[in-house]
Amino acid sequence: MKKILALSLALVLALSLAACGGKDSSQPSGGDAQPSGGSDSQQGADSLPGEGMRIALVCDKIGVNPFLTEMVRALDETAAEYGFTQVVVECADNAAYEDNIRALVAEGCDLIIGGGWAAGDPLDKVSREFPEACSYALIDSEIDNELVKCISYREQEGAFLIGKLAAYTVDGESHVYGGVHCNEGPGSWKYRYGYMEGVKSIDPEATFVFNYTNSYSDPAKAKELAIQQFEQGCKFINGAAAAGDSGVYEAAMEKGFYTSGQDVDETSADNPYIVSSQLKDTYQTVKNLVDEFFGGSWTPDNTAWGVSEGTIGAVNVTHDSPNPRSDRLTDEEIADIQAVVEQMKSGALDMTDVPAEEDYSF
Amino acid sequence: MKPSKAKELAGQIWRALRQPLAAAVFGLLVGAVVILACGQNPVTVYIEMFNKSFFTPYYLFSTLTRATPIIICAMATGMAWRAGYINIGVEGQMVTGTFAATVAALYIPGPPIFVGLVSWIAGMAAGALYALLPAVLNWKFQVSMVITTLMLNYVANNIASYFVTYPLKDTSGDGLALQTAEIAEGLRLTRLSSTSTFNAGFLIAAAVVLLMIFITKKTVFGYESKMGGFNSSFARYGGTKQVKVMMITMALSGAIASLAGTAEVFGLKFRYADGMLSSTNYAWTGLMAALIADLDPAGMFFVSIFLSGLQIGGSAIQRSLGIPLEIATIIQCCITLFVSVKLVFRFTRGKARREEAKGGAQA
Repeated sequence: MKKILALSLALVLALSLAACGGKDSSQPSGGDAQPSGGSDSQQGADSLPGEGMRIALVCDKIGVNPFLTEMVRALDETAAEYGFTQVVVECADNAAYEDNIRALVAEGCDLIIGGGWAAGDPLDKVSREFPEACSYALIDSEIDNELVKCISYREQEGAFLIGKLAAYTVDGESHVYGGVHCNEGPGSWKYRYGYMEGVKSIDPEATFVFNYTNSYSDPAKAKELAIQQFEQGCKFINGAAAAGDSGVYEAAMEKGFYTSGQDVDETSADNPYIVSSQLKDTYQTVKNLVDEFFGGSWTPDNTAWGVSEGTIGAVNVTHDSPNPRSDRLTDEEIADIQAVVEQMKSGALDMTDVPAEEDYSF
Repeated sequence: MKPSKAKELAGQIWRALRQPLAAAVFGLLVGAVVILACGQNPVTVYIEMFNKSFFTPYYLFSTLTRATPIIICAMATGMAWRAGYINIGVEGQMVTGTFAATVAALYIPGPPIFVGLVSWIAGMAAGALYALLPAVLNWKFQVSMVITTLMLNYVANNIASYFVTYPLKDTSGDGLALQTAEIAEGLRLTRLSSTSTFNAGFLIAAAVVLLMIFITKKTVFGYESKMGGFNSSFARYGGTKQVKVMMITMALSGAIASLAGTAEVFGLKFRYADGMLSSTNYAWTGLMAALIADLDPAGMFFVSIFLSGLQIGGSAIQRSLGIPLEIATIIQCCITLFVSVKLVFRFTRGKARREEAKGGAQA
């Protein structure tokens, strides 16, 4: 009896897992087939610059987080172009970052790209120990280390545009503005600061409610928080909760408030309440990095990219969308925001410095 | 006499190991099915996985480094569980202790040896006090220790999170990372390998295992706490002071838990970063190891290393073969699952026997 039970349990488990595995199988094998497929198709032109090289992206769990899937897309495309082998390493926790980066150096990697702030400290440690072994880059964070090329963004510029859009969308129907973010850290502060400044430039009476999901992938919680903010009178709720934003969109559909997305164009023909999306073009970032790496212009100097460089922006303002624009926004309003973009590009409006949260009065 | 004694010992080891081994084999088999579903050859994957976790020196060192906090957490769990106190707050005690130790190391002036000693002791004291909190609540108000210890995990994590986000945040670089400054060079544990991060923390873990074996096998306290775990009414009848035993047990458990994180900070990270001890699930992996090994100290030591190897090997197959990290997690969970099947069987068998003994007098 005991044996049969154990065996049947094992069998049921194995079968159910196999069923789940079947769904997954397309993704990893697809990602896996890419390097070999890439080099096969390039057999004619056999002297690609990246032949035999390895470039790794080390990041958090990817899932459907557009910030990361865009990086992977860029890496896959450039791998086919230059012929290197791409390695994508997802880290389940903080300690795994250092383990993986160390192991990548030991396994002979040529460029390691850290995709997010969590890779900062491990990259710092490993690069100091093995300065010659590999090139290092860090996206979306900055550390004091001349060996690591840090690319940070001026997200406050994009958030400023979204803030203006928000105020124009609401048109004075409410003076309470919401925002659902991932963490209450300095990373989110850049978004909140820009957003608040943008709103207040049009609606000086504005007050703000911010809540945090404490996760990069929690749509359920994001939805709850958005509904709570709506109940507090928010007519516009800025989604900045990474993969959790889909929960905010759902709430917007149900309750009828307006919202905006993050990282990629999240506007949709099916959901008229998503009026814009704050863009952070990680696809272009990784592509630029790899191009620079093979183009011979590689230096480990840090850079910060914003609206002027085209990596930060807002849908319907700096970037067009295939989906129809919300009828809450008029051409004059969009033109007004686009004028701000020009000011940012010309340097007339400089948002490089963000005040510390403690020193900012709401 | 000798051969028979050796045979007896071998039999004992076999009985202790056969369940975890069978669970491991079943877990790997289920993993093989998942790997097949991913379109890869399980044999190649497993060879790569074990090569890059146990059979190459570099990776073995990584495995042992990662095992260090897991081993200590397993010991902290075992210390409380064997006495019948279901302490699932090892994570909170570890965070509190580690944070206290890190702060002490950062802000107490003086020669490194003195500061080092004070910070380790401060960490242990903080961990012990934090573990006493649920013990006192249980003693005075009969609050379930399972709930309090679990909930206090979040309290500890969020308090530490607050401190590294605001008052104690390191502002070098762009100041985006939520972490404290680095502790001084003189306080860091010696590295035992030139290429990897393997450090003296592992020796501390080994020492904790020996201490645990000593306490459980050779001291009166060890006996009393074990009795309490088996049958608290009997222990009370036998004259043990249960409150005292509970306080000492929980304090020891908390103090040991703090060592896990302190060894991680002083040997590996050199700073406290937000979520460094909770996102890694050290305490929960340690708990898993303790359950698999049936709370036997030596068993917990090896099972912790095995589980850590699965995690290191899981990352390795992701890097070289593109197998998703979840595979390693699936194998790990299956092993735990099969071990818990054992627990259930035991429970039902024991129940059947008890009912037999009762002769169905009480329906």
